[in-house]
Amino acid sequence: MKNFSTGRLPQSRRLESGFTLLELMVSTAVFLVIGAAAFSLFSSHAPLFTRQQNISGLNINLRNAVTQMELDVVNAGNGYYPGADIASWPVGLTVNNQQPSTTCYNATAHTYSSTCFDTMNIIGVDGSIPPTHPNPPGNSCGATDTSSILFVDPPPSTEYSGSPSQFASLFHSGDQLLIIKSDGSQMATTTLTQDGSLSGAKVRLQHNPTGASTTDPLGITTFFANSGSADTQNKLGNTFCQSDWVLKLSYTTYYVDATDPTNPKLMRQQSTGTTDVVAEQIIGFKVGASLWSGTVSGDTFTFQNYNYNSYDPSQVRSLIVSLIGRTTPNRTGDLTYKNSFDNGNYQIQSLSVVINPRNLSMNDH
Amino acid sequence: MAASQFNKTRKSQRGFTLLETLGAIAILSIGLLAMAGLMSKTTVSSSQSRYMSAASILATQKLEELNRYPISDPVIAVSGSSAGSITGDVSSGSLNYFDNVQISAVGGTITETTEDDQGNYTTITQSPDGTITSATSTTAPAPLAETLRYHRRWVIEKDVPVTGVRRITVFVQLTNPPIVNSVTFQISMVRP
Repeated sequence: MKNFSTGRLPQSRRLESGFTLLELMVSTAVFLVIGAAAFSLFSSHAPLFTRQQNISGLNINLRNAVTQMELDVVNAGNGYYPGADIASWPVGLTVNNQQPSTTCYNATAHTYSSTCFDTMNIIGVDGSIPPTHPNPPGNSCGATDTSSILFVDPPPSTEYSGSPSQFASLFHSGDQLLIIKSDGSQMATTTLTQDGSLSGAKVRLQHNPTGASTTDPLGITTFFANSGSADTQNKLGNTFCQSDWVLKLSYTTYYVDATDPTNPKLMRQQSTGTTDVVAEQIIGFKVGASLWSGTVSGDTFTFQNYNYNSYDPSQVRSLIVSLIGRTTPNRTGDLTYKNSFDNGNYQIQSLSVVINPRNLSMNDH
Repeated sequence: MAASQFNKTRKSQRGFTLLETLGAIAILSIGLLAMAGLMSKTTVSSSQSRYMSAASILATQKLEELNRYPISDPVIAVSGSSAGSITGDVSSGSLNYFDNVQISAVGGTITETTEDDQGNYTTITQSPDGTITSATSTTAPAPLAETLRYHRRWVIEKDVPVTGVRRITVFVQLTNPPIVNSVTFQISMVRP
């Protein structure tokens, strides 16, 4: 057996000879050298490639968000009823700046909480509901700050084809109303606490008394209510008569939802009740405003503390929105990478945009 | 006998020669290098699209600003057929028809500095903790590392495309960092 085996070996070797050992070693060595060079080139490019892919995606996200915001902000203050001679259109944009705080941001875990971010409300008139007049009992004037019931007339048939009860059904609990003097000098806002109902020939609207912050979640009249006698223009009204106007508002609010602090999301909430995510991984959302100063060259953007009670929102003429987004943390393909903004292992990108609402900024010129 | 058999099998069943193997490796490595080249090219064009995106935002920003001026404002006034130029920097009195914007992200802040048509610099600085400030200065801020610098020029043409309107065209160019293809963006708007 052993003899047979040794006897066959040389024969088979002769039959199937390919490379010599030397040839194999040389070719393997050459392949290894070139392969290693190619691989190292590849591996040094792969994180770069991932980074660029991430940042392209981020860029598209931010652009989408900004475009959506531009569409909304440009139309702020729309639906203004031409019959009402409103000197300075009172509703358009309200901004609530958060006070900067070091606690809103965790520099180690790279998490963000909602106090880092601003809120922006874009307010217009709900175009699906025609404007109407208050019609208090006795055809006199009604006080909206003490009374919690507002009677309004159904609009004339030329403006609204439905029945009065159909008109009443357009008002729902939670709707935001704007009540404004016929000359535009004074206004008030309130939130409905019940659905509209028909009472005789009038529509009965139950609401919170005006002038309180609970009735004004969008900050439309907060400044006027809080400035008291300092409000020399006296824009907060509480007595409205039959020639005045009741308008249902539609609004869009942009805010950052940081309930998941590892992924703050820019949200767009509409008065219809729908809330959409506009962009994920937003780590900066600040809104600055330019107030009408009488001359256009005097318009400068400030991010001063525009909380609802510190500025006259009827004077907001232009907005600057600064948005900072990041790529999903720790997915750069390079674990040692740190960005130069907050040292997180992700890319960041900022985008700031100036938006002039057509209904607000063009009227002064 | 043994030697002749060896030669015979070698002729009929031989493998690759060293030369053939080297040839194959050469082709393979050309392919790999081409792939690597493609990746760096993707990186460049991806950066370019990002710079372009910022350029387009800055261009629309300038248009928005020019759109806000009243009809009679000297900033958008046209005496002849046009004011300003997008091919060169033009000034008229104290009014410039060009400006610069620089954006940088260093030292824990993002700053954007805009030079206006009067030579004032407005710097907006944003930090992770929600701090945002806007400061105006008459002197140019010190150049920062990792800065993108954009140069903007605009031209206002009277009675174009129809009588009674003005066409404003803004041209934006990235002046640094140099990449393979230049980053430029141009956009127009018609206003009264």
